[in-house]
Amino acid sequence: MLRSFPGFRRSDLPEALEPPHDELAELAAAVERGNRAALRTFLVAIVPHLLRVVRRVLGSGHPDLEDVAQEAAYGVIDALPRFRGEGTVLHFACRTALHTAMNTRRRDLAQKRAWVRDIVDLEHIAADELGPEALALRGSLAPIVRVLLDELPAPLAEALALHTVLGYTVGEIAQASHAPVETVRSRLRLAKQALRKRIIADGTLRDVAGVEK
Amino acid sequence: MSQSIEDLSARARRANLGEAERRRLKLMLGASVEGQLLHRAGLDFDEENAVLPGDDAIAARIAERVLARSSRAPAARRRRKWLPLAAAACLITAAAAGAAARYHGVIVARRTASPPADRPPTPAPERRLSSPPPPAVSPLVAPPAITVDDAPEVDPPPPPIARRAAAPTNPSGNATPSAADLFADAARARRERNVDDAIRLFESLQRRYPTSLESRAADISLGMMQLGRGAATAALDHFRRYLRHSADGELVPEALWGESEALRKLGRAEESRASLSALLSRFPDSAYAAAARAKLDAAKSAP
Repeated sequence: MLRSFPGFRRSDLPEALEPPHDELAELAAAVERGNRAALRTFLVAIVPHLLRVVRRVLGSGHPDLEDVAQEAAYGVIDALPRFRGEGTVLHFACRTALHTAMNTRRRDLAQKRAWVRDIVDLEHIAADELGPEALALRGSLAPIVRVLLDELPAPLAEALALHTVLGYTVGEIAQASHAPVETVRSRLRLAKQALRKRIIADGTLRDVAGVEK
Repeated sequence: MSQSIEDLSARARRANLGEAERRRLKLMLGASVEGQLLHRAGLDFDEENAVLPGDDAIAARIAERVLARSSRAPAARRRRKWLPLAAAACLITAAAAGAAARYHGVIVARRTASPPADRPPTPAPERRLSSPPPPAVSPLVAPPAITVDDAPEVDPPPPPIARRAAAPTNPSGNATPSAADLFADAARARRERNVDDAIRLFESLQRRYPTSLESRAADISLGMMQLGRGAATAALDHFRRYLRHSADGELVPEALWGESEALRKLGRAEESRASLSALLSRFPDSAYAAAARAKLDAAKSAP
């Protein structure tokens, strides 16, 4: 069920969001009823997806990938009773994984800041062998976006992640984040500006991305 | 429907644009550096969505841990104090598993995964719930319609799979292992890296219950293990047997991918590419798609 809020219209949703047949819905209902066999099948179906979402958000070198994916799996099971059919169960699960991973990034960042403040162990900080810029020079903008996910205000970061990581359209982001379509457009616009600004600020990245100052 | 650059970009990434929309997106991207960057970032993330070696093993471990924990204390799920400790342990196991794990067969194993080793053997009345493979779901492609009627919780009638693969009773009255039991044992052996045992158990399963669903799925596991051992011809036989007997089975993407890998290792490059093309054409959205495209592109650009 969609929450009603100013500016939201059902017609804003793209066709992709019109409720398709959801192959996991019946299984999810059985999981909610406590059916253990259903839980096993459900986990088998969703965990590989959760793992890949978490990896995209954290980066493949993150040491806690498995733990975060597991945390996401718990999150999905816990949140199933709150799922109201906004999109498919799989989309819902992937979104939960995305948020879990983003929270982990922000938690990591806060921890890192604490280390810097206390100068407890500089080796921990030096553990990031390659910075996002260096990784981006290998030809991918994903590492730069990951940094923005940490730095941007949460609503902007969420819109950016839903679009770039999960490939959501504006309408789908609006539905997932319970925000009006125009608000989402605005958030994506600001996120895009931040991405460009980040690239422009670095001469080498600018050349690699082919962006003029 | 909205036709913003973000919408067109998202739909382009799903290969869901008409010709006119593609042209429109191209124009829009040409006119907006920021749009271009965002689109490119999205494509870069899509590239990272591929299945990696070892993913199935990681997913199996996660599923087992979540299951084990949920059976002990549902409320404890919300407590996360175990996480830092588990992280250290998982780093070690992930590092060890990552090198050797192959992606596909354990997916099958997960479907009939046995209880964690730290729990006592499942008593007979409960075995019926956990032993038969759950409804087949390929986690690497859009899952099929799933019903849970096959696995009711209280005193269910034997599910179709169990009926077909019912364990015979030997003269002494002891039940011999069912197809599901053998599959679960083989899967456990495989997870524990006892490849020889796993192969022996899977082969035993296929000899005893040749028409069971477990036997069909075992072909994928056997194929992957044989591939891992360098026995590409044997692997190819298993993948092709699966495709022959289960043309519309849930593991067809895995079988096609495995077939392609086996053929490549046998030096039959053209046939290997044909398998990849079949995989892409039948399952364009599967998790293997990106890797298959990359392999085909690489083959095209090779001298």
